[in-house]
Amino acid sequence: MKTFKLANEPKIKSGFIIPESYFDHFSEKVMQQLPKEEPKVISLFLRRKSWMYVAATIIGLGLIIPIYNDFSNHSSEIDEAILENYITNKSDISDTDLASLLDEEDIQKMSIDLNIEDKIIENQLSTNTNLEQHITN
Amino acid sequence: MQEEKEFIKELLNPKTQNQAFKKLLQEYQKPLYNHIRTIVLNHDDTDDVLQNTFVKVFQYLNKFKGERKLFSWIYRIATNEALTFLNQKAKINGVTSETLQNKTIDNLKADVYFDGNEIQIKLQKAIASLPEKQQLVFKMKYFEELKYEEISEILGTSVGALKASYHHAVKKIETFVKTN
Repeated sequence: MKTFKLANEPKIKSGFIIPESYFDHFSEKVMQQLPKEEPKVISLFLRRKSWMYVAATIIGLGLIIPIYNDFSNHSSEIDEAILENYITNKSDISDTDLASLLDEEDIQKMSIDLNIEDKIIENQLSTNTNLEQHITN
Repeated sequence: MQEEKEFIKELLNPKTQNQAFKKLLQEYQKPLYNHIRTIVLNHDDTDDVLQNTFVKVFQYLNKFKGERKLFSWIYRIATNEALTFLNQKAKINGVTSETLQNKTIDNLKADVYFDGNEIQIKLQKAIASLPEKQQLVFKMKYFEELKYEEISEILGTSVGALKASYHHAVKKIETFVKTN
């Protein structure tokens, strides 16, 4: 068998040929493919859009807050005149019902109103012809 | 080394980047062409891989740490690009990498950019029968005549292991040529 030793043989070349003038325009070809750094562009439309969102939020809050306030006022407080009329006109609320709502302090306040001078009482008693009827009632 | 540091600075500075990259292209285009051509074998594929390699080098410049030489970093990118290209091409054609290489070697006979005779074709076929790493080591040492230290930096393998790889590759090639 024929011996073959790479070291003993003349150098075997690869045989690859580079096409003539291949490198003449190679650099340009590569340079054109390089990614270029472009400044960041923020779209005017996008910027306007974000302002539209802000404006819409403000308008929305402007509408919601007064409605909320109005609703919360009505829900927790009752107009005094309406309440008074209601009590007056509602026939099934008796004096006893009202009296049961009074506490000690209220009664004290009421007793001050009844603090009438003796002379006035005497006068009232002497002039009042129906006194007997009041006592028997 | 100091010169290389300055050159890397120029490559990273947006003001000097383009000019520095043109210089890099001039310096590396021929040796990288030969490196890629020995792996992918035909000119058209080499052209594609070489362009992709330079684009990748440019994209990854910011990640280059300067811990290793620019030369070995660029060669490693080129090697990875070439091997990825070969594997993808084999996958697309539904064949093994070795089958694809043998087919490409057969086509070399009619390739206008190949000037070789029977022994060169036989040598290429013998190389194609080797494991991937041994192929790389043999091609870089025998055809490109790179030093073991340089190959070691590119492939990240010790010089001792490279010498052993080359020795095994030569033995297998000699046996292949004798028996075929």
